[in-house]
Amino acid sequence: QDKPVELKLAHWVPPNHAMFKTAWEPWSKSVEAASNGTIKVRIFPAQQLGKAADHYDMARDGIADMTFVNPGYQAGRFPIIAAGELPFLVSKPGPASAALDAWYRKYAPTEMKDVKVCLAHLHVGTIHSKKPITEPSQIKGMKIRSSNGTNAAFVSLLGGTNVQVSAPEARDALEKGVADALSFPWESVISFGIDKAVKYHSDMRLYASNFVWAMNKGFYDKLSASQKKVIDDHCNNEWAAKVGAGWGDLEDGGQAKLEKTAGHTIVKLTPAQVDQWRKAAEPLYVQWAQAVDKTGVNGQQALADLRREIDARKAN
Amino acid sequence: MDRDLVALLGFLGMFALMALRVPIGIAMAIAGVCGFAALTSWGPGMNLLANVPLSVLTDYNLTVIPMFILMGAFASRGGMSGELFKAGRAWLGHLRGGLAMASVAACGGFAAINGSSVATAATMAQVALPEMRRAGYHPGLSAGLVAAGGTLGIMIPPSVIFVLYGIMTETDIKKLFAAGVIPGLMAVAFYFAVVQIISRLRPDLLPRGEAHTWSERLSSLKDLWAVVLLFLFVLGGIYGGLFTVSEGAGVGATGTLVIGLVRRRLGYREIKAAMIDTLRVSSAIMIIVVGAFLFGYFLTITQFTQKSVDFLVGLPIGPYGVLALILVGYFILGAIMDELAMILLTVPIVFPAMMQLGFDPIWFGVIIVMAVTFGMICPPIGINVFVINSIARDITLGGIYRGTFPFIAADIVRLVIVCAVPGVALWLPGLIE
Amino acid sequence: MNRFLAATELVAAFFLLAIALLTAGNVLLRDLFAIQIPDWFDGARMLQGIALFWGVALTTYYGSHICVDLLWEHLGARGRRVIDLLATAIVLAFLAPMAWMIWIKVGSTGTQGTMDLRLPLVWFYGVAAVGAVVAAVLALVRLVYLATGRDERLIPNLVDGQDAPNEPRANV
Ligand code: NA
Ligand code: NA
Repeated sequence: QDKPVELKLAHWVPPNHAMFKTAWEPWSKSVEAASNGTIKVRIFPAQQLGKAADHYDMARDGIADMTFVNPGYQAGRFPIIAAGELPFLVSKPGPASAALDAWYRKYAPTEMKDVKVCLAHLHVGTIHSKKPITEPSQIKGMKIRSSNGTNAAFVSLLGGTNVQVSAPEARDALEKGVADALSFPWESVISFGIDKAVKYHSDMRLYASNFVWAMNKGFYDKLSASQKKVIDDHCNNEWAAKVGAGWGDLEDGGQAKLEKTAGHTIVKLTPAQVDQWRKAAEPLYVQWAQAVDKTGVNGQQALADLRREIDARKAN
Repeated sequence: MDRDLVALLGFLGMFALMALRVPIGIAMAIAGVCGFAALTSWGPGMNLLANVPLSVLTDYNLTVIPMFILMGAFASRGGMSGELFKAGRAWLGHLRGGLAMASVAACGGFAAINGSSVATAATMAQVALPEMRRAGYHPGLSAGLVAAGGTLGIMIPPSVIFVLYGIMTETDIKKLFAAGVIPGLMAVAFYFAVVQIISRLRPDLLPRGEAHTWSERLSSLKDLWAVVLLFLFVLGGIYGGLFTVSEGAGVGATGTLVIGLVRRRLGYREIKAAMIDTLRVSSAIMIIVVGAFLFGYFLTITQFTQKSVDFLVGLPIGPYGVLALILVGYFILGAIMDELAMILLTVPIVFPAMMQLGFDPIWFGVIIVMAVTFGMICPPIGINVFVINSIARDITLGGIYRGTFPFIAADIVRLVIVCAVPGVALWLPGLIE
Repeated sequence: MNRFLAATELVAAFFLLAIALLTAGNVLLRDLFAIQIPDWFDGARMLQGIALFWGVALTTYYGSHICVDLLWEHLGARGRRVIDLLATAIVLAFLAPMAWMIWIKVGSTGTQGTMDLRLPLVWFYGVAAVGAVVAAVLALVRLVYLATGRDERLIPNLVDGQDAPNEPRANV
């Protein structure tokens, strides 16, 4: 009989966030069932155990046993996984999460060596604005609230200004004109009430955000062999795909809702316009590869590998 | 070890350290780290020290605290507090208790351009208190009035306590600011009423001052342009969309500096003094914020927080019964504890309970601020009273405390009104939508 | 020593003013010309962190932390002395390991940088961490001065001719 353990899972989104229903609840229940109740998951939501940007260190330091990490919150610390944030790289969050996860398993032991990476996933979003945005040249002079560092770098590259406000403040910033537009996932535009402030939503896969579930190594090492197997079975590519699809598809469902809502316009782009955006984003790919080269990994090669994983899963 | 027992020991340890005059922030930090270690192991406990202090002190949201303090320091060193009192005296001085009313009005005006209760009390203790005493006002009563008037600093926007509450509970800070306006103006009116009642009963305590000519009155208003401009600029910019609340504090501090430079009221000496004041006050405050976070993480893993919320919500005394209980708790805590630490420790427990009981988050923010203001002037530990005592050394602590009693009575009436008629607080923020 | 502390305090205090200037400058440029000061946001955060770590060091040395005086006030000179020594020793016992842990954090910051210019955070964290070490050292110095009856050295410089309004107790 295995010794009962408690797995403290810490995250920084509200307790009733979509991630709870689509990911943490099913994952926890499955772990508890598979371990015959010897692993009990206790969730600490809403930064109760630490600030959002500290969640990687919290897993490393054993402040929690597993944490929800957005590597993009610590600019430059995890250059390799930042590939997942590159604009227009992926479009389907479920298969794309599986691709990212499969690809990152090779790099995680070096880039995130202080923790055991359980799984990686992503979601995809676009730009939401007060006026229709179809071309990258329109960003020049706009004030934009970006979702992560790569996205902010894109805005700067196009001549826009980054406005720094928290997600709950974003609606107010838009209403009052502190910001003109924001990059955000679709459903969150509705759940944060931002649809009251922006009416135009560009139909493109402009940006993605990465997430990692990081586990404390000491916690894992102390588990019995059968408990380790339970964790291994729940920290795999299948679960990455499941979690990525669960949250990502829910976010993308917001697009259809907004399309049906009076007063909202989904701005369609011509193939030529999409090409302009892709071209404009190319320097970000170069910058990414350069940053990765410095870590001793061949950037071009790694990107080609990632694209192969994406293509294999038809995630683009 | 049993979680409840560790939580209890954590609280006892924290209070014991405080009683030994270990700084409040450090007492909370030690209890938090040791408690966390007791429930996990020394590794994670010590690791909290690696992350939390650096993470809290480099949090952009918290720059609002030093920035609103800096704004008040520049305003005070740049003579704005003196101008407010002069204008109050020119218009109200000839009435019964006129200088007392002038002091209340000046506190209210100064509150509109700084975010701190203690800074308001300290500033007015230097500006208004000597004038009242020269005019033969009762020393303890005058000091008590300034202590109470100081609390307007956090009731009338901008307000550091509203900002902290807003950050902790993710409540809209702009709405909180708006919600403080009417209760703040009510406080001014109620303090006026108290002054009138006392000066009728005991004219010797609060005598009439001299009358001022109309030309003096008008010229006193002329000096107020800077205060008015600053207030309109900062709040107008925040509500009009020129900048966020966090930015508004920094912009306001800079604006106060620029006005002081243009009017040649701020030279190198004054600027240096204002900066150093701000650093000293901010450091003393922010170490408490760090300690409160460390203790809070400890309470989280003991599950004390969650259990307390469930306990409060489950009490069979109805929502208003729970509210009354919480308020009584705040009066007791506020009497013996530092107000900032009190807010940081209790809001995570009390706020979710109040929300589950169906109260409005903005309204409850106003209630919290009012509860804090009691603590700042109630014996035995009333920070405003201490500050005034440190400036006017010859007025005893007991004398000042007795002087605050009539104003505390007015505050209680006001608290009951805001509880019974939430619209008093909620009408103005309701217009923002 | 005291002149060094006064100079340090002035620099740290100026950092707070710099946050105000940086914020206001950025708002002005953003609202008028739709441009931004690179790294104003991370810059302001780092300035605050550095200023406050050094500020806490000075607060510790001068003993101007916010404390509960309930017991202390009712003691005689001897009792107060014992309590002051004990409290300072406890403060030292907290600040020394904290400084140590913060250096560990500095060591694990890695390639993390600021949002816009990607300036290594290690630089800023390092300066703040030196402040944490100074805080521990000053706590020790305070303890020695208190133990050897040289309390008069611990009185803070007046900010100008008059008493600073917010001293010795500070609060919101
Ligand atoms: Na105020
Ligand atoms: Na009190």
